[in-house]
Amino acid sequence: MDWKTKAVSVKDLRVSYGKVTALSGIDLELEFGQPVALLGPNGAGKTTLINVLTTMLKRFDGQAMVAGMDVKRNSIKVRSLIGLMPQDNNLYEPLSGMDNLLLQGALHSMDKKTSKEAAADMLKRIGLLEVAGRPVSTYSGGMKRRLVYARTMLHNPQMVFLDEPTTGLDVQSRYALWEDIENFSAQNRSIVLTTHYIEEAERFCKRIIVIDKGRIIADGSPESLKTNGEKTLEEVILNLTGKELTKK
Amino acid sequence: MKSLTAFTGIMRNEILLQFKTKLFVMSLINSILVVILWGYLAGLQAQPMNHLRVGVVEGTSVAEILTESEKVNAIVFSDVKEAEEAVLNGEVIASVLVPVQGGKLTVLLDDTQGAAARAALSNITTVLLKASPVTQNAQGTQTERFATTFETKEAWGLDMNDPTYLLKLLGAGLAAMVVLSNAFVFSGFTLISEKTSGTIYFLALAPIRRIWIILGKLVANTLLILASTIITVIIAIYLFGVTPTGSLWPLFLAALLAGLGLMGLCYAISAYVKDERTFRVVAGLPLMMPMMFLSGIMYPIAIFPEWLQSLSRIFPLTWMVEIAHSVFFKGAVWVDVWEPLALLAMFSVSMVLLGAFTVSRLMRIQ
Repeated sequence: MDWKTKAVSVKDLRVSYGKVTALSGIDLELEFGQPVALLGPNGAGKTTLINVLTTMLKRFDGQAMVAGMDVKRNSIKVRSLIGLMPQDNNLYEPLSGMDNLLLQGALHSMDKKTSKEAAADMLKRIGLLEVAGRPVSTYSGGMKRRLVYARTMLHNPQMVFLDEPTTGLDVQSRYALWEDIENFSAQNRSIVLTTHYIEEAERFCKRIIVIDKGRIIADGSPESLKTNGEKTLEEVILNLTGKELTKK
Repeated sequence: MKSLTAFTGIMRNEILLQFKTKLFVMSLINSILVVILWGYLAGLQAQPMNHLRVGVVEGTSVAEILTESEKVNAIVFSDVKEAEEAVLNGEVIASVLVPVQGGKLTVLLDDTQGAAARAALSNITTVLLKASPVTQNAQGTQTERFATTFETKEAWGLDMNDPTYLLKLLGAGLAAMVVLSNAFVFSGFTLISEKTSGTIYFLALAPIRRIWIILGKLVANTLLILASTIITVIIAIYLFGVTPTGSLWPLFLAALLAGLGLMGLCYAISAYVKDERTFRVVAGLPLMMPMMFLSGIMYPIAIFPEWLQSLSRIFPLTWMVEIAHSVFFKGAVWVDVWEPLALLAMFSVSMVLLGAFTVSRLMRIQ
């Protein structure tokens, strides 16, 4: 396996929380510049996989590399290359949008001037420049989500993990965000996405990985997964993971 | 009817919440303990305080009388100088000094001890008053009328008859109170808020060692605590009328060390508790409350029985109050307060390490 050329290389990855198995032997390779969607029911193991790859979860067996670096041994280097947009809008609400972004700049060792310029640029791209000085607590849910996206992208990461990026956004904001994500991908950067908007995954991602019960049960382009006459990716997912409600 | 169903549903939910989070039991224990502690300390002040240590000079008749009395805990010193020094270094609350050449007795009081100094003076007066008529020599004539001839002297010139006397003592302890309160708010409550909002996990993604994140928080909050200390010192001087007689630098260092240590401790606790309400009960009950009442800020430690004094001496805030009293009233400089400063430094280092370890652990998803 050539670690250096892969955005992500995972070998026999196993994670357990006590007696509960979250991931049971995942093997995975992702290329740079290829947007990938991780799909699957709640509790399938998607977030656990992202936690491992973003160095947040270190209690696992097997091997996980990001941009050729072991996530356990080179966690700081890995963190400098990646961006994570979590499901929750974990922003400092009493601070302004600009202050939230400046903190991200500082954490990534950007000098104040560069950080300010990058923040202003990001805020303009996501349509929040005019409210940049307002406390985040006064923002709507959609505005907060866009700000979290801006914070994820501020330090120009090589690879981003977007966990439900468009949840709570209106149609206009969703399209604006996807346009930005596509531009990012066009720069040979890597994107790993989880979403419950399956049509978005189908439209923007060239590769779909379906995870269920801690295992990869399907992997390929959206078209290649429609092997049983399904019309949509949603039907594929339902056929693969079943229609029963998840117990997790 | 619909409203009634909703009303009972809300009631059931609320009761379940209070029980499931154990807040019902904890808040009950909390209130009972506050009343017991407060009542106990108030009661102590109304007691005769026979345990108060009073210095006497060996071989004098006063020493004989006070040693035999149960109203004071007399400690015998070989000469007047030793008995005087015992008051100045806080070994005793008061010393009864008998001049070598004869003349008036002097009761030298440690006037930084508030109610304890007053109680000691009252006990000495009572004993000597009682003893005066029966203290007779071999010829049957009365030798001394202690009670009518002794004079009192305040060791630190605080003027115990001044109506603002007790307020001045409180003013000196104000800095310690603010350090305690700031440390709880800045570290404990803030970390819990970061846990619930998820910002702590955002910080954990920074490409730096986690110790830098914790140190960044600690140093920033320590600067705020220092600023608060400076403000309280200004308030103590201009509002409470306390004039520092020593160097204020040891007090600022003490505030820094106590603040760091207490914040480390609060980080360690808040890393384990679920929410702000639980932190308020868990940290407030065994830590904040005893420190507030038993560190010498509100009541002089000398009024406590021996076991409570021993407990009080393990609180870092007690060491800080000792430093505050020393620099405000006793003209202390660095060398005079090195011992409590060293204790505070040890507390600070160990608690910062504990806090750093627990917060760093918190930042990793287990």
